[in-house]
Amino acid sequence: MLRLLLRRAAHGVLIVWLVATATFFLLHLAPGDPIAASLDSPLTPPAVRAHYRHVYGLDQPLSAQYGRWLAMMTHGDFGFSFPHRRPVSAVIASALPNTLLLMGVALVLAFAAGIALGLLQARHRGRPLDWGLGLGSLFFYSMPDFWLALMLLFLFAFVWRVFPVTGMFDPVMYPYYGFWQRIGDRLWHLVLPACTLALLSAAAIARFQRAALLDVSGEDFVLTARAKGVSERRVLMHHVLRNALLPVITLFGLALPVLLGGSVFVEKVFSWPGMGLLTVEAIGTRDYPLLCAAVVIASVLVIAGSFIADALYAVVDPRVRLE
Amino acid sequence: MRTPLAASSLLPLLAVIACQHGDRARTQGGEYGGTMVIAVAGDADALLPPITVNATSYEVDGLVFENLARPGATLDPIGDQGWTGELADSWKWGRDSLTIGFHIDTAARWHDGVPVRSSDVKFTIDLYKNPRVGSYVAPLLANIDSVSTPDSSIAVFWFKKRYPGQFYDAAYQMRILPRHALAGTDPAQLQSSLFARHPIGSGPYHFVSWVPRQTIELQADTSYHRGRPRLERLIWSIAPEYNASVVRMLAGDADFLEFVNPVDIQRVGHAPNVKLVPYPSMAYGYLLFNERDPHDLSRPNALFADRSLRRALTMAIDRRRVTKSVFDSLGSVAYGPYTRALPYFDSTVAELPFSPDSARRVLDALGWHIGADGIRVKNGTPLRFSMLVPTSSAVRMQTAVMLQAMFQDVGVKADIESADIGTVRQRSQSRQFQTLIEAMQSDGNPSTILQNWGIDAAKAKDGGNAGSYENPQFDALVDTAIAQFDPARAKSYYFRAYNVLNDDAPAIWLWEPATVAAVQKRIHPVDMRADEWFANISQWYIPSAERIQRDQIRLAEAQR
Amino acid sequence: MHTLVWIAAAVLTTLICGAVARAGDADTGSPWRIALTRLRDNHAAFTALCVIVALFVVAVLAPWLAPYSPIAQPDIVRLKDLPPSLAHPFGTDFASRDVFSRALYGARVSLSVALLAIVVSASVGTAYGAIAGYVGGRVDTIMMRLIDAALSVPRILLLIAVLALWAPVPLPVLILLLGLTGWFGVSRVVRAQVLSLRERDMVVAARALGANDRHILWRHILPNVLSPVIVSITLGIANVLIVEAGLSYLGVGVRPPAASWGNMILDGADEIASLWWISTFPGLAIVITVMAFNLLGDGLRDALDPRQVDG
Repeated sequence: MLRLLLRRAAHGVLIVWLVATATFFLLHLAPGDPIAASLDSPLTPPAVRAHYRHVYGLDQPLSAQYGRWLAMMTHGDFGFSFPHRRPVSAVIASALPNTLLLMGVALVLAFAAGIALGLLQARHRGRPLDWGLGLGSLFFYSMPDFWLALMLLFLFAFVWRVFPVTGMFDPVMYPYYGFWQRIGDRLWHLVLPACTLALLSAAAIARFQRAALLDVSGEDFVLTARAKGVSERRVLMHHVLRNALLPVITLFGLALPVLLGGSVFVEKVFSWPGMGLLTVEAIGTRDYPLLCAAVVIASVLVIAGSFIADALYAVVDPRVRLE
Repeated sequence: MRTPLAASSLLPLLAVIACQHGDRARTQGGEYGGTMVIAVAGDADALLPPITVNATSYEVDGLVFENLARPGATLDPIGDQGWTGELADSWKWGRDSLTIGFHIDTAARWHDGVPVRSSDVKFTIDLYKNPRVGSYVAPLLANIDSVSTPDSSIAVFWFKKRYPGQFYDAAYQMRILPRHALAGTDPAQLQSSLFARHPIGSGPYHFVSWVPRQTIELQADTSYHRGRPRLERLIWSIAPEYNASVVRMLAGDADFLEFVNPVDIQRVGHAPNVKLVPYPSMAYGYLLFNERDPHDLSRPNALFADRSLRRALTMAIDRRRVTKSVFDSLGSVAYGPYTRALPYFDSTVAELPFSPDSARRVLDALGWHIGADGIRVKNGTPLRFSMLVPTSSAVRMQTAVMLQAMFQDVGVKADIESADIGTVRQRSQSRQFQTLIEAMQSDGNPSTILQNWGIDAAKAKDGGNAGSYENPQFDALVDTAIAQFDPARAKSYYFRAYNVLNDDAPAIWLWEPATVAAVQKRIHPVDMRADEWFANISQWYIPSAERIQRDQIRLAEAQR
Repeated sequence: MHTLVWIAAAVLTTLICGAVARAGDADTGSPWRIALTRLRDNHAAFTALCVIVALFVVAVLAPWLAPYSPIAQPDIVRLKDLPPSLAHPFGTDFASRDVFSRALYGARVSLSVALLAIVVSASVGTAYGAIAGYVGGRVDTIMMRLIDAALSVPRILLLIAVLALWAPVPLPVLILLLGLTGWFGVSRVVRAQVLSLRERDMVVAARALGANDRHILWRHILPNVLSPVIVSITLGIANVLIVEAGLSYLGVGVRPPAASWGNMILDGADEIASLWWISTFPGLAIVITVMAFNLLGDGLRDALDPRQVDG
């Protein structure tokens, strides 16, 4: 087991290195640089730009920059973000938790809603409810994430003015709230962005869950249970659901990259100060160290996600061993 | 359902608040307290004046720190007419005009309680000029030789030569920094220092907190030496989406939005809780021609080196219509690289008329004849070029789409090349473009015009004259104007220079947006200036009868 | 631009004709005939197919169907930002252009981009997967490891970065990039299929008879991976449509003044509260199209599944 873990970890590191290297060269070979993009006043004297290029080592040959960067990365130092004027690690430390919070809440919502919907559909298989829910979830499944976000923004924030539209907490009152009020305020701000993300993935999970349930319901042990006169409800909950949850767990690994990609748009539309928005902004400012770090973190998250999914699978289903 | 905006439809909305200046008298009553939430798009970079470049940092810095003095509403850069003291309460010119002595207000204190001294001024200028700091202001201070401190409250500026902008450079280019807090820091490390994230200044507001990418909070300095500010707390609330800022204004979550898109004027203006406040602007936009070949900068551009062609293209554009469409009644046509808010604005400049017929005639005469697909051709090359536009600017993208159709009308094919702002900047600096739709913030100091249109700025490797417009006559006129101590004479030389520029058509001057801010009705703004809308924020106030929940925070403290 | 539309149309026609011809040729018992029959009996999928065909017809006939030119600006002052009316069913945008006409032309751009990109994905993915699966061993391991690496970076992030950093990217390159970042799934499916086919009787027999690898690959293996590839193509188109819309919404995809559904949403995004129609209708067009492709993909999966028995 330990050897296996180590092997997986080694593979993970290899993949991250591949990704990091590819990203580094992709970025540094692109036209433009962080100094030009950030000191955007045309009045900035060339000497000042040259000064900063020198300070950040951008005037060195690419191979030297790569070597230096790789050495720094192995020591856990992501470098310095010129546009933010802070170490990259500090910038990320203030953004990553926000994204994880958003994704975590969305993930829980999505799985809860998705599994419930799938169950409901499977129970009413072939009936109008199944059909209607299927079409409904397909409708959401087929939506571009940013458009759903825009429409929710339009409806809930402009037309009905129910939810706050930006940020993670009330900018004025938050420091003066008590503990529970703070939690409430944060949840209140989470509603729109988390629901947008959750809606998109819930649809996919529901479709998958329904299929899995129907697959399992055809198997012998289910038929046996039914034949023994076990109630339909008990059959579904005890025999079918337990086994049909397995494939859904694998979705967890797949859902991560989807959520990460989706968070780019959702964070943008709702001004959520997380990694997605940070990355898009970093592209605009050519913030190479920050971008490299963001990509590396995304790939670590994805790899970790798929590993966790595999591990869960092995835990839940004794028949499966890792490899 | 809304109808398209007609010019007249906006005017009543704006007229309602045209009586802004009348408010001033009432501020004498003296009511302290209240919170103003300012909706902004971007986070600050560092709160350290020599190196910060972005708008939010500039606003926060402007309230935490002070200049020695600031110009009057006319922003006149010559001499010290109309200037009011800020950190300095008085000043005296040397007999040969090569020195200016500033007397620091002895009541001035840093926010940590230490008195402000003349040594802080000396420290500040040395810091700004230190190449290891990398301040973009440093080159503007080249004419200041040094600062001496005969006693703890007098700072004397020594100049290398006598010139009209002396006072402006000494008093207004730098925000004075506390020596005791910064002296121990390596200048090269300043940008990542604790100070840059937790500044100590001497201005009307002191720093409270900064949650990166979310909020920045300032609080009134009750012992501020020029009088306690009326608003107790200022909070910058950061949200990149413009949409969100509008919603927050309407919902009452935000109190101030610096710029409202023309399309939203009507909706925002009709909201019961919000008022619109127009104020003068310094922004203008233009389509810049590259007079050099982007592939080989030593060669002239095959198209735009030709002055007649540039003039013809200018005449093909209905600038008034574009302005009207993009800004409705809230924009005016730009006449050149300066705006109406400036003292050296020239409304008499001879504009090139909008005349597609003349444009066609000239193009025909130049040998560009309509080809098979409706595009003009000369010696087998089509009259076709690209317009570089930053994707992030909706206004410039819209303008580009309209220009494209107008060029098409006279047989010219203009392709839109949209790129993110970083790429546009980089390509502008390295002159890798055919034409570029640029938007600029004009400087109060008209002599800076050479930094964008002068010959030196064209020759420098990535100088500010990206289009490489070169006309010695223009440079000579501006140089003469800069050397004038009499404002009227300076003005007449500037105007002649502007006319030369306009005749040469190095760019198509497009628009000058009027800026309209949205403000919650309970907040009473005073005197929003073109260069810094927030300059007089310490006089803004919220009458106690109109206060809402967030104004009550720390009210007890505020009332003391 | 126009060339691309015609290429896309040609590709689609070839695909459909090929499928129909195959189904027609073969005798009644052939899996293709069965699949076609099954598809016809699946009402949802069949409706989706009709919607898709209709969309392609609209895209091809856009110049004749659209009431206005998609780029004409009749009056940038008086006719801009008009709400939906009889004259302009979807309203007009900031430059007085008719949103309905732009949506029709947008169908051309969005559909051809998606279709051509998926052709790239499917070809690369099939080739890569087939090679990995057929050669096997170390090569297979390395090839799959590379795919793991590629899949660990969110696709949309990669595309945004590349497109923004090298902006402006011409349309053919955009299509290529969309295609080259979308084949990983296909190649995994193909590899799995090839791995299982490799040991099947007919392949073993062919090898025993002295057939070379190329012959085996072309004759025995590729025809049998066709059905999963077709399913992933259909679902892939839906995905590419969404990705392209997202990129164009961020301003790095299809460039103005060409209309794609994504950049039309961008045109109205900042003014969603005042001018809701500019973003809403193109978004609906995307949802309908993507839904149709998803339904068809599901239907095809069921129809082409040899394990499923009729009745």
